[in-house]
Amino acid sequence: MPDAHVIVALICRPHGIRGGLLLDADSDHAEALLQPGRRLHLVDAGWRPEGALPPRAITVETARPHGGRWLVEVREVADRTAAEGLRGARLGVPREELPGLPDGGYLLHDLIGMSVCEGDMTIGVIREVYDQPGAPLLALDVDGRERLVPFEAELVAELDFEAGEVRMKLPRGLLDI
Amino acid sequence: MPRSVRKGPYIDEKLLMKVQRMNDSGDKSVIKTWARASTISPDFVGHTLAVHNGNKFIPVYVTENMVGHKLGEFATTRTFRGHAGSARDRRGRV
Repeated sequence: MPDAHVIVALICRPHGIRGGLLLDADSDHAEALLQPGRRLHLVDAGWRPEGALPPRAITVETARPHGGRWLVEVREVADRTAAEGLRGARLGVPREELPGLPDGGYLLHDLIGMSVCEGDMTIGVIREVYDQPGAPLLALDVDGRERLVPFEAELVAELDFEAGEVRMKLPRGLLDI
Repeated sequence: MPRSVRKGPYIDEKLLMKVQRMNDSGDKSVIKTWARASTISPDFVGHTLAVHNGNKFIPVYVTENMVGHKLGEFATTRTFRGHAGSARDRRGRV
């Protein structure tokens, strides 16, 4: 997936027999992003029926909230078998199509690739940001090993997007667990 | 059925003792714990606890909002979901 795409939803499972998809939206602007006619790009689709090639993008026809998730019907998926093939896939939109951010706002996606520093020392590079119940977790690549760091205001000293650095004050022992 | 009010919240005794000892000394180093069922006490606020999720330790920085919840609620046991497209406000620091 090109870097310009931002993940906005996960396809949880098919719904019904007419190709409905149950989505777990991962955005504050789910309603705007799931408007009829919107094109969403498919990323790492899971299991697929033998021989079936999934579409590269889907077009939203209808979308409505359903028990904390979104029930979506799309143009490219007409039956449950095709919908099964998209289970586990993530949906992304190009960065420029996202609704505008408030002044000084940023996306967690923007943190990927930034370096985490403490004092003068670079600890590692952010490879992934995991959405967790307490605070997002930064997955750092430290000498080829993954280290998790909570992205909590009290631990962040400064965010410097121009320099691509997150300056943090990490508690002792965090990188040894 | 909820836990009886008469008993008070369940807080892992060893963990509470460690945190209180660290509060006395002003130490904020990470504490590893398997006590997912332990309720978060106000003493834990400001500490980072590494809560085991059955596979690895998940660092949890305890804030005031978490008091009264269980530690396990903040260290999910299933595969992580991908990075979020949700926005953060930078008017504060994060």
